[in-house]
Amino acid sequence: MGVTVIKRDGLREKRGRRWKVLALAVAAVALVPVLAALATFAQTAPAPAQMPVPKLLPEKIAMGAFYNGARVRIEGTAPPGSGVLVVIEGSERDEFFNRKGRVGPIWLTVDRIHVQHAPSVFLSFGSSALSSLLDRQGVEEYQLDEAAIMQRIHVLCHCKCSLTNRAQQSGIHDTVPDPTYAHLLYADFLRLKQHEGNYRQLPGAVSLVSASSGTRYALEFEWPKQAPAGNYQVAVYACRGRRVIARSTTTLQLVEVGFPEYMATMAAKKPWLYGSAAVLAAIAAGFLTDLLTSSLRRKRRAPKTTKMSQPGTPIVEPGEKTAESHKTESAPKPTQRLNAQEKTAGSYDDETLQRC
Amino acid sequence: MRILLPIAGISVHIWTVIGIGGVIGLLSGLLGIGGGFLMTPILMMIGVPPTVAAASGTNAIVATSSSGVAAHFRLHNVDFKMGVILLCGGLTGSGFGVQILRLLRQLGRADLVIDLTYIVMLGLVGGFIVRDSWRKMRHGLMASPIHDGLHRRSFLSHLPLQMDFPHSGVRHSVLLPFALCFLVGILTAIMGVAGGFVLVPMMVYLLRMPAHVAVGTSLFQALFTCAGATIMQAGSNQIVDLVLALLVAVGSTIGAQVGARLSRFLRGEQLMILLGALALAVMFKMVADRVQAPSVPISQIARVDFVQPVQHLALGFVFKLGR
Repeated sequence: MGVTVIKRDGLREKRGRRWKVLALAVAAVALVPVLAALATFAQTAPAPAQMPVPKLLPEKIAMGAFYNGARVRIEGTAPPGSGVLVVIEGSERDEFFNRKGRVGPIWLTVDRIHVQHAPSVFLSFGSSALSSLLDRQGVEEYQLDEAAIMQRIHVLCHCKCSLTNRAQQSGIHDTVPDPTYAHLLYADFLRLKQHEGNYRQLPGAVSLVSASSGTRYALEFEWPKQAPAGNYQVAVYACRGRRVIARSTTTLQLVEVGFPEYMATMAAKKPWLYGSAAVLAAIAAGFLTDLLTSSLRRKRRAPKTTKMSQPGTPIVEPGEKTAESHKTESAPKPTQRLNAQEKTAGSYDDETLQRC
Repeated sequence: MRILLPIAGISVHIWTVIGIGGVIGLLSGLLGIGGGFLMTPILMMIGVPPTVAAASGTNAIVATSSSGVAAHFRLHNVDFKMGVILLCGGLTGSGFGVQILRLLRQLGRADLVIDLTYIVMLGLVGGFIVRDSWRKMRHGLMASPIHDGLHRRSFLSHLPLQMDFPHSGVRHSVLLPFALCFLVGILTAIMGVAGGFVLVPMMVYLLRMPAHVAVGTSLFQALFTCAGATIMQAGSNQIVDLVLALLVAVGSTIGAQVGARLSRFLRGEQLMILLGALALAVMFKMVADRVQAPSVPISQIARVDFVQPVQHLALGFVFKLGR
């Protein structure tokens, strides 16, 4: 009995040790991410301070009927000794593209691409090169260059949807491309946006002046004419020691006013009426032009018929009546006009003949 | 002077847009083509978004066609009877073509088929017209065996529903122009254009209509097709820019008038040779574009489903009549 009890106790002890070791191992594994998180938290820079809101000139860009772009000025004060980065971003939207590929000797549309969450406009202006203002980690954290914003843009491909907008919006057949192909698609999209002028980076565009209150910054640039109406976020980052130390944001509004606003509202709210009006206006324009050109042609023809008249008609002073003009006095107005032209043409011919 | 296009959302030079319209209108009045296959790419070049360019171009073609129809009507160049039959055939064919296009898209090779159809059709039509017109100009009308080709075929003259078209000076079964336009409708649905450049040669060579009457009648048909497409595009997609369309229309209506007048100074063969040369030029440009590597391989989707809205409109009318 005693031997059996000792054996049982030994087994229990062994099992107890195993459980202790297992528990310790689990605890150690669980501690790793906690410690890592703590270490990261300890390394994370303090949240950037708030800067005074930048001043926009103008705060609202009005797109009237004769809108021809605008010159925008952004100015404000940053903490002393800091570099400044100004980033302007349009609202996110979905876009659809065809992608061409080489099939034998020719380039054909081989894929259809659906780009999600792409900002309509991305403009980045710095007081110096971005790499001298911020480290890569900071650039990616605040998404301050085109490569960084690509991380939030999703590119999907092989959308076999119909080409009408309504079907595009459904996007039901989108698939995620493999990483190599996706990399290629991102690069193509970025190149297209840069080519259009909607994505731009201009280092050295922001001018800095040291003042008693801090560093005064100013930026003046031509607003892209093709940028769509909407709200644009303007973010200003003050950087020192390759880290963001302060930031502030404001909104620049691009709004349609007057006739363009009226047309855009009507097209959106009463599309069928707008479509019918567009057709009627086009038909009216067509017939009106036809009417104008035909009446012009009739007027032009009138002197041509007078050239056929006898050149020996006596010279008639303006207002003087001839026997012929007496005959036509009772005739309708167009005929009178024609006769007057005939007389003038006749007299001109006589004068020319005399000169000859 | 620049002006803001409210739907396209871009600022453009007024005179540039009017000038573009003028050139397209000139070709339209002269050759009886709607100009759709030229309008969209040219408007895209000045920065108009592709879908807006295609839909607004359609609206502008309404103006060009109405101006051209009015001018040709005065010159007695519009055969309304033939025009109505062609319109019915075209709409039915386009409805059928849209279904074929849908099937091709499901197979995933629609773009390849569309591109090849464009190149082959433009090459065939352009080559045939230039060859035939050149032969006629050099050796006189008798040189062309096609001139009385369909008349010789007895089975066509024995088709039911024979009808006189006194304006065109021809007698055909109603089924013949209907069937021809049905085929053109299928092609136009696949290619996404109104199809004047296919329709005019068909009317001249197969229906034996005089070239001037074919041009006027083609414009009459384009007027209705494009009006329907504009209303449907505005209603369904809100992509018709009226300001852009009217600016293009101002240029194109004047151009169409000049073109219609100019067409009187050219013989039928000369008109056809111009149309053939234009079709061949567009074909060579397309081939060149597809052989050269593009600077940016992706581009915004340009083609708008052009005929589908017209088909819906036609079906709507039929449905209402059926009630």
